[in-house]
Amino acid sequence: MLQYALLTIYRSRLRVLLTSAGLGIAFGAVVFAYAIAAEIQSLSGVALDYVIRGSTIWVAPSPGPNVDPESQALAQHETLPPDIVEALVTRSQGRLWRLTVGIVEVAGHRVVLYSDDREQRGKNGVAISPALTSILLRQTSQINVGNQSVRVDETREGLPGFSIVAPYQLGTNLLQSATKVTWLLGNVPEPKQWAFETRKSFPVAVTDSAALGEPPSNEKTVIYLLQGSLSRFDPFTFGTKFSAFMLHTSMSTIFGWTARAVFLFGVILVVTSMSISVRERRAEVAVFSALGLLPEMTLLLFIETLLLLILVIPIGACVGAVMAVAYLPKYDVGSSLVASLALTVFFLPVTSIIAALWAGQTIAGRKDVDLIRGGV
Amino acid sequence: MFLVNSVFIYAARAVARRVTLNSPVYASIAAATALLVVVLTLNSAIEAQGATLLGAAAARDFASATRLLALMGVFVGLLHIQLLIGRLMKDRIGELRLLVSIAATPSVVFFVLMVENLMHASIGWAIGTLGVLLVLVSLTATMNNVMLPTIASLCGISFGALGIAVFSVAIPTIVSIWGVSLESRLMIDRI
Repeated sequence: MLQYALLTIYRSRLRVLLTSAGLGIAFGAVVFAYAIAAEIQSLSGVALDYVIRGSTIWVAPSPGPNVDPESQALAQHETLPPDIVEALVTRSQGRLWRLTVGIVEVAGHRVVLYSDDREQRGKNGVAISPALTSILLRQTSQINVGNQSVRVDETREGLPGFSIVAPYQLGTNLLQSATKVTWLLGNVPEPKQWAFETRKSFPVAVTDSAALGEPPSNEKTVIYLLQGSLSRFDPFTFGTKFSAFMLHTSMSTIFGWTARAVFLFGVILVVTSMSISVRERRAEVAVFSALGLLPEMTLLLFIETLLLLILVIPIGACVGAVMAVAYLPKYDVGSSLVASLALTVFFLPVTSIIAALWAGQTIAGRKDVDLIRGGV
Repeated sequence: MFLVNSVFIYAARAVARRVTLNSPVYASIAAATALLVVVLTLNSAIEAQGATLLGAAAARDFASATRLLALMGVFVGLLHIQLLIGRLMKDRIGELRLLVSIAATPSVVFFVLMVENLMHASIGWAIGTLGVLLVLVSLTATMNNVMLPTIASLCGISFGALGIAVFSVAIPTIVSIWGVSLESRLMIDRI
């Protein structure tokens, strides 16, 4: 069987050579694409970590803030109730706060980022809970306002819904959940503590939502409160942080999916190549069929594919690895070799099996008489 | 005019008759096109916004890396589509000989095959481009228009991919028809 396969490859050596060149470069492209994805995720993770290291991140599920999609500002923030404005002015030691607000969609969540441009640094901001008719500023005893820790109990009554505020910290690349929600705001008798859980990154779910009285709607809102750094030695403005945050999530996702897509295209190219080569060999398939050797034909196709890929894929992996090391700024030889090896170990059997099965199925789907007539 | 109509009808029928049979070819052209569009879009995205995230120097490195990846995609696409179309031509060698033997001039046969192969290329290109376009548009919606500047350049990228697909089917078509007409002339000489 092996000899027959080798003979077949030798007989059509020019075609095999061209196919091999195509497949080799395709696999090189797969390795290179994965290297680019890994590198950009790593670099952007570092940049992101640097930009918002130590920031406190606040998470508030539904009903979410009311944001004007055009101006990207919290709706009606101009019409804060006068008593709250007055309280703010008092508590921030006479300084008016200017809120910088932006909204993005991440992982199906509406994400609102905002920063208070106080002329001081190192202070936490405030959580904003939206009302149906106006924005209400809610603070609990643990939130710093200006230079003071204050209690605001009088505004708890009459909130439109539930708004849970919890601190989250940014880990290496992901949001790490705090173990407990620290503050619960809303028209419930007493503030309680609720556990949150996070999945891989951004989705946040309330584990014990029934205890809130009614389950929150499916539309969760995540608010990340990023500390606007005002140090003159810090080159990052809030806008930079905001952009970096958005780009990090988007770029990581896009590059990750691109690498997977390139992998898929590589598999498709191998499979279609095998499928077409079966059509070319219909006379041979007809002879095998007439002799009752169709299962052996499928095995033969598998061996041929495997031989071809074993010859081609290591070369492609080397090409991809060399290009990754040469073109990517921080990609070292070790990482490149490990990635190439891992992709080869995965790609080789997967494509061989799929291509052979596909070709075998093409043959098996035809009747003997069609095969003998040459109608594969 | 009559000849042109006849050629188009003949080619369209030939394509329609073999749609199922040629589905691997369409899948392959679609994959090659999609690869190209995705990588070029990524390149566009990096060039537009990479500097904000990674810094100008790193963004330049990544942009050149993605350009190289696109070049690899072009090469693989060209090679693969040529092989596939070449095989399709080989499948129909009998039909080509028959056409030549019933006094169709090589230029008419060439015209038929070009139209037919352009249809193959267009079908594959449309599948690949539309698939990628849908994915990118949905990504854009999810990612709050982060990809919007690159979506605008997608039309150019897509038509560039069509150009490459057309170019890659032209070569095997020319080679095939040249081979067939040469073979036919040799046969006639022998007679």
